[in-house]
Amino acid sequence: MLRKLLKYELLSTGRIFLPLYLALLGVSVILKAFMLIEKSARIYIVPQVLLTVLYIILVIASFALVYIFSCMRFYKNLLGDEGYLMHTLPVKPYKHIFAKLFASILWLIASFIIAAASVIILAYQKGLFEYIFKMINNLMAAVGLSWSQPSVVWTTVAMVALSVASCINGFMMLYASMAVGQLLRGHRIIGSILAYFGFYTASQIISLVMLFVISRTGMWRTLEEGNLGIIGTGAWNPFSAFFTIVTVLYIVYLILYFIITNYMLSRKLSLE
Amino acid sequence: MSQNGNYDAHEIKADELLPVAQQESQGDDGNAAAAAAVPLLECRRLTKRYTGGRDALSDINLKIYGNRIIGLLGPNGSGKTTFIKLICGLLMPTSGEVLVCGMRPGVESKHLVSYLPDRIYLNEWMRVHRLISFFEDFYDNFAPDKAYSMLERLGIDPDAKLKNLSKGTKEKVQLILTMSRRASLYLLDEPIGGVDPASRDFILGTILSNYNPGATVIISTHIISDVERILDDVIFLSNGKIMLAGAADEIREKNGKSIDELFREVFKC
Repeated sequence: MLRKLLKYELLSTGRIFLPLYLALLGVSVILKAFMLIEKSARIYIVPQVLLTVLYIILVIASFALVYIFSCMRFYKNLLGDEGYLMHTLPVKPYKHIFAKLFASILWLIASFIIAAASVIILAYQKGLFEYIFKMINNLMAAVGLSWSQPSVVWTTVAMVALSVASCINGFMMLYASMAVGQLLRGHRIIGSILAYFGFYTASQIISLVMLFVISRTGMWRTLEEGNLGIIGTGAWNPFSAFFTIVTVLYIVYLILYFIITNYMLSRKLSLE
Repeated sequence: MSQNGNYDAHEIKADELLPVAQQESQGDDGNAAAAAAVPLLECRRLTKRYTGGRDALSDINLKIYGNRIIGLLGPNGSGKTTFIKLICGLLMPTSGEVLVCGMRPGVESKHLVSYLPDRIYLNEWMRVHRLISFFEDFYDNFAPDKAYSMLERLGIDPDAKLKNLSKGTKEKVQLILTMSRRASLYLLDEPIGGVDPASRDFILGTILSNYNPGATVIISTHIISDVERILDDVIFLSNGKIMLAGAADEIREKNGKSIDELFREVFKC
């Protein structure tokens, strides 16, 4: 059932994102063509500026719309009139949540890939990738790090895990807010916004307490000194430890948000 | 179709003017068998209170068995839609419970219930044929060939985009989808509310000729004259309470008037 739900989720949102990605790639190609044709001709300046503005708008849109559609789909499809269809399907509520979440994550990843592709289209010259890799390696060497150190790999993994957890946490917090907000019949959007601020404040307070605790340890001093070379000292260095702690914190949050959302959809559903 | 035994409305507080039909006491063998079986739909002290408001439904006790066409009748705001939404799990009871074949609303009960809401729930971006495959994907008791033949009879193009259809046509599409399922319980909330009198007969005909044999159909409406002739049983809801429930024939006989006339008299403003 989850696969089927995801299929319809992607069909619905794909109508927006696929044309948007095509437009973004198309604008990059045209912009690149302008760059290649004639660099000095004044006649090209106006369209080039317009295309650049359009390009920036499209890049921003391809990320912003992931979040906007994530909210809209959840609200309209599960809590609005369309919910009369979705909640009478023989499907457990958690599968609805997963379908919405997976679709949002997929589009976020797709937006990253397309945005990166468009940058490569614009910036590509022979030897670009070799240059980037060389630059990263030089920077790392300057602070005494290299990929051969397992701790560097571990710290990188912890950083990636942190970004992934924070993205999922972002979506789940929105879902939990709407699932709680629907209880305020007649003022469900206001309810959702209030719930969002409630969750936001609560998570900020917990994070601040955590930071306070961490600041009492020697780990904090090392982080403050900003000596990246410390990463090379061992897998459990202050940097990787910090990223890991924050990742775990995000995972705890997102699990709580999931439990709240699932409880609200299965036990407290109140369609208007 | 037996008049006895399929319907049972015990524990309902009788209104002084309109005694509730107590069919349990008329028991024959068939009745005993039906009473022993798990009811298709059972409400036990079902109450729904919206925050800050009065009870939308209060203390509803009801048992409904298979093979009946039941009219859920009452004026606007009497709790008809709330009652149906509780059965579908779109609302949660404040107290008491509702059971479909002995189960609380959930995945299993949703397999058995085919629901037509009082509003348009369609995804605007879909085409009609996509919606049919949607139903086919999620309901294993959905018959697409039945849906296509009904669409053809109504002259609705399966390739049409839902957002281009009129409200009346969308309602017909929803009715077709609801009636193309081989369900045990059909819950139709105001199926004839928004359509012209000429279409009403067609819609009632569609319901009668397409529901799964042996299933029970509950039709909520305040337009009684058009549906009266097809009803086996009626339930009168007033201010969230069951005012009268029983076999349509017996109620007509007892009161010496049609259900429509009785309704107009009871709910006179």
